[in-house]
Amino acid sequence: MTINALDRVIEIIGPFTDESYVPGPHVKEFLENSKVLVIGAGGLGCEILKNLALSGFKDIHVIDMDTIDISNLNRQFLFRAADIGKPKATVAAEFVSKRVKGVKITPYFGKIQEKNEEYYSQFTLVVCGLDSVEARRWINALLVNMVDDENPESIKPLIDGGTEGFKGQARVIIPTISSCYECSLDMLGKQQTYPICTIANTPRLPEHCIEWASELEWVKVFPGKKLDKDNMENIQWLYEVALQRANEFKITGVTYSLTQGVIKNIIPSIASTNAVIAAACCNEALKIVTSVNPYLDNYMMYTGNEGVYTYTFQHQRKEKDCPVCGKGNGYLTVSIPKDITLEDFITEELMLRPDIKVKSPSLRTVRTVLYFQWPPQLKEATERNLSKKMIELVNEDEEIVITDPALPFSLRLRLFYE
Amino acid sequence: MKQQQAKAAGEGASTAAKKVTAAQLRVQKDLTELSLPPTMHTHFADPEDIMNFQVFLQPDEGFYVGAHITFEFAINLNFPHEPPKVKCLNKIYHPNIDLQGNVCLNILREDWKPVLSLNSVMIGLQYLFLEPNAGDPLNKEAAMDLQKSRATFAAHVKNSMRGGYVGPEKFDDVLRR
Amino acid sequence: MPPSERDRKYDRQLRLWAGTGQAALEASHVALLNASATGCELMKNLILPGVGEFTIIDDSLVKPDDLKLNFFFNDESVGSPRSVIACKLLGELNQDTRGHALFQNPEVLINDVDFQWDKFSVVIITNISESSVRKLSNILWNKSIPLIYVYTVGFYGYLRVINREITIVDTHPESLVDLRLDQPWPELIDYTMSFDLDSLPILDYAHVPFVVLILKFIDQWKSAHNGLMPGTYEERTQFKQLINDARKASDLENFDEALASVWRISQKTTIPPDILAILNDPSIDNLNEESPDFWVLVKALKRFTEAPRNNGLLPLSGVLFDMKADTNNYIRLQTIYREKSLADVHFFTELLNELLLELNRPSSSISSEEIKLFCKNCRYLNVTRGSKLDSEFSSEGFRSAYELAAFSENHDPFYTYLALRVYSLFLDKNWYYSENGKQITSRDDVELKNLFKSIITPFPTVPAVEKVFSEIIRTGSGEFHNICSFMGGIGAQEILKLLTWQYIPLNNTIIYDGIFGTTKTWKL
Repeated sequence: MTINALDRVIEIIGPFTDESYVPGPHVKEFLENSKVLVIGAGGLGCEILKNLALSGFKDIHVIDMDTIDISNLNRQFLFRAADIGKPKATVAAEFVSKRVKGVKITPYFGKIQEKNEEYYSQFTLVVCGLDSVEARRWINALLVNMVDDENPESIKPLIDGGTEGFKGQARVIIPTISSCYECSLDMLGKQQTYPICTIANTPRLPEHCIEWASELEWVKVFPGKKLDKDNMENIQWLYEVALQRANEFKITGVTYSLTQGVIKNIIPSIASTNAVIAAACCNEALKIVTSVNPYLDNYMMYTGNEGVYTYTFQHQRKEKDCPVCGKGNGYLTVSIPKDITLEDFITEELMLRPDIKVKSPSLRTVRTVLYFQWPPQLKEATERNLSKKMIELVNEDEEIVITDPALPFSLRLRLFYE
Repeated sequence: MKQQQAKAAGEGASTAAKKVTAAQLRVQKDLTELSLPPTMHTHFADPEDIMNFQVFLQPDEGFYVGAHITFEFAINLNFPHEPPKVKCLNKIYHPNIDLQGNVCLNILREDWKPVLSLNSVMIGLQYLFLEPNAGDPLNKEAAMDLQKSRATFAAHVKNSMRGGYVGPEKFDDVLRR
Repeated sequence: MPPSERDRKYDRQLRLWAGTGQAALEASHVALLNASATGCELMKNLILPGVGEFTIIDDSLVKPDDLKLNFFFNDESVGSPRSVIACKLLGELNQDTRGHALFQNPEVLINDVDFQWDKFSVVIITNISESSVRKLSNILWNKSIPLIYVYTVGFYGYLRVINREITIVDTHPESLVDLRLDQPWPELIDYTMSFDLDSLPILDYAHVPFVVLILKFIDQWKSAHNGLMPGTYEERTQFKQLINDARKASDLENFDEALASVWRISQKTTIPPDILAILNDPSIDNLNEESPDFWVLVKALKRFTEAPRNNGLLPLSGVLFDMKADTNNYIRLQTIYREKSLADVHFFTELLNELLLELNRPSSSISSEEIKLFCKNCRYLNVTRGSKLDSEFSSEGFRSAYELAAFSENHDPFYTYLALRVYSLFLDKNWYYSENGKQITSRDDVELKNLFKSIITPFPTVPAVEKVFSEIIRTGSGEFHNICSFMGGIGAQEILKLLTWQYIPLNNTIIYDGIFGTTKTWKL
């Protein structure tokens, strides 16, 4: 006998629900009308899509830039051998929409960076199942920057999961309110690197020989040719070169598998850990959207190799030290006259404002450097912009980033022309 | 398939992304707060692209006095989680720089920390030219040379900097710009 | 040689449990009683990595409500047997796994004395009446087949591993390095003495492995201190000074490594207490021909440590971590450690063969790979013994968990666990498992509390437990897919450990509280 608990809990206040919770059918309506974005359709992503679909979400979007590889099949259960080479997002979306009736899943095969703020602002929340630090930093910064203090709907909760072998973590980021991804960047383990002089002269480990092949020999033998880490012939070449060097130095342990692992920085990944972390993430998504129970505040670490151990704690914001969400890294909207020059903008608008307190600001947009006070060459190169009109340099929808030795980090600014 | 995808991604990025990334932001902060000695200068081939640039070093003391050394800095979007990639563009005779321009400086690899700035990397490079480290060589011949006799090493460096040979290797002329 | 297609498919897990673990997994047969959402999620996580065979036992038919919770039924399957559909849709996940559907009532099967459980390596039971679970757990306990019992309701889930004993050699500790700086052997001493630090050019000096440095300075220290090691904190500080005074330059990484490792010499090389307990386990007292290899190996290990030439030490792992050194010296040092380890393995094998002879077993009946692995990991062996479900409420662990909960400031997870267990017994008494079973309602609250009193007699009910009761009542015996999937992940992980004989298993109960995002484990 199967009873779905959702229909019940939305009707009744529980012993742990927040006082402000109002039960009723509108809760389910809200859940079904929410748009939720899943970033990544890999090991976590497949689980997340299934979990959200079976949690009552009806409108799910998914972004992934990868295609299916044979090594995904030990955990990415929405893919079959026949799907190898096809885009993950598309195949995953199709599978889940077919299996779970009434759920619409919209795939996007591409990079998250290709989508703009307008796209991201349509979602109620974002669930992330990524293996890339860079992509996480990008979406985190974007969601933090999207927050408009006047508009609570601009706060898009970010639920982030990650796994590595038997370990993982699930966390809830409420942009500008709780600790963000950038706040916790120093908790990340460092990627293993080896001193280049060891690689060159005193190799001791098989890894040293492999790095010698990839970092030093490859460029020597194939100058100008980029190493394709997904190309088996390239890996085979590296393996052979590394093995030869290892034999020369009587080092044991160079294998094809190790070569591939070192070159691609392969992280072991299994279905069970992904299931645990994805479920923890989606459980939070459901609670955040429905308020049927309190949500995670704000971090759960999971370790499964020695018994099972989890640690749930509140990761603290870095306050002013966080370059993304730190206080003092304000986001300002300034309206200026249409014909003002860059120089006047700096000296009359920026430097005179009591709430900013900049002394020698440097400015850029994502497209161009507007004006850098330092280093000298950039100052020289950008000085000519000073006499130009702002409207020639910056569009209204572009963001200006200001750094200044007097600011702890940076200031973001958006212009409106009067 | 893969290539097409990469192309599409490149095009999309230029139109859609209007945000300065955390990495660019940090580079901007680091660059505008550089405090370099007069022996060092930055050069931006494309002033719009602050993630790729060169650093010129002209040591005013030590073995390499008078040389014009050029380093190439390439910073990716994972900065400062990952260190900048630095290469020496001149072929020089130096214990810690190999003939391909790889530089052996701990803070560029195993000892990199996100709190380190671009400034600290540049100062670290300059230090390599004041005090080459024979204990941790990349060019082993140069290191043994230095270890055996500072005078011979100095002579070899001088010769190499003029575009001369040390052993079978011919080096770049770095005395003239 | 580029890897085979199979190795490429399993690459991301082979990096964890290697070919041996994979082979063990592929030789296993797992049974699931009740094709619940939790059960199917769990099976998914075993089929994907390639469990050999699975059997799903269920006699109900797929209903529309099932589709809302279980991903492994589809629209077309409504009205078909759950066992058959789950077997088919789960089986699609991996062509290398063989699935069987058994259209039979799990509770009837448990009462079938003729049913052959022995073909299963592990049995999973989810959301089935407490009395049936107890019955099954006793059957399997007697056959030494592990039973994984998973229960989910509302935002809660718990799991219990009911297993007599598992012995694990390959526990994957953080590091296997064993330097033995306090107990160098002749080859290591000779090698150390071959260095004349003062005459070395700086480049070589900077590349003397720190192990050599430390041993040299220990020697120097001993000759000035009546042959004693630096023992006290004060002495270690002086010892560090000795090393520091000797260094010829400030930036010498090998000297830095030596200084950073001084604490190691205060760690006397002995047999860790856990291992000592294993060496003294009664299991080795009455070994016979049939005894498991593990205990035979342990007995040989005990004889190894008792042999006068080994000075009470375990075999050396032979593993060395990376350290500042030139290639030749590092490789030589590594060879010295490896050769010592091989010599230990050799002597261990002699003792083992003698023992095997005593047990009327051929000397080759334990493979040399197994012996090597055992010797390499002998400092980190794990023996986990479970307990019967019947003894839960009277167990020492239960009592102490209850007492500890009383001291906890916040909502202690043990109260949640208690409430769930009482709820499970309540269902058993009230026939909630029948085909048209009813949902729990607020009218059941009083009975839950009474039941609590009658079962957990010495312990009073507390508001925390009552809160959980009302949360359970709120969900009307219903489930959430996320909780099912979470528990399925944990269950699969624990089964993978039991099947691959690697890593350290859960002993023996875990609860997941999906409201606060916490878990807790107890040995009950």
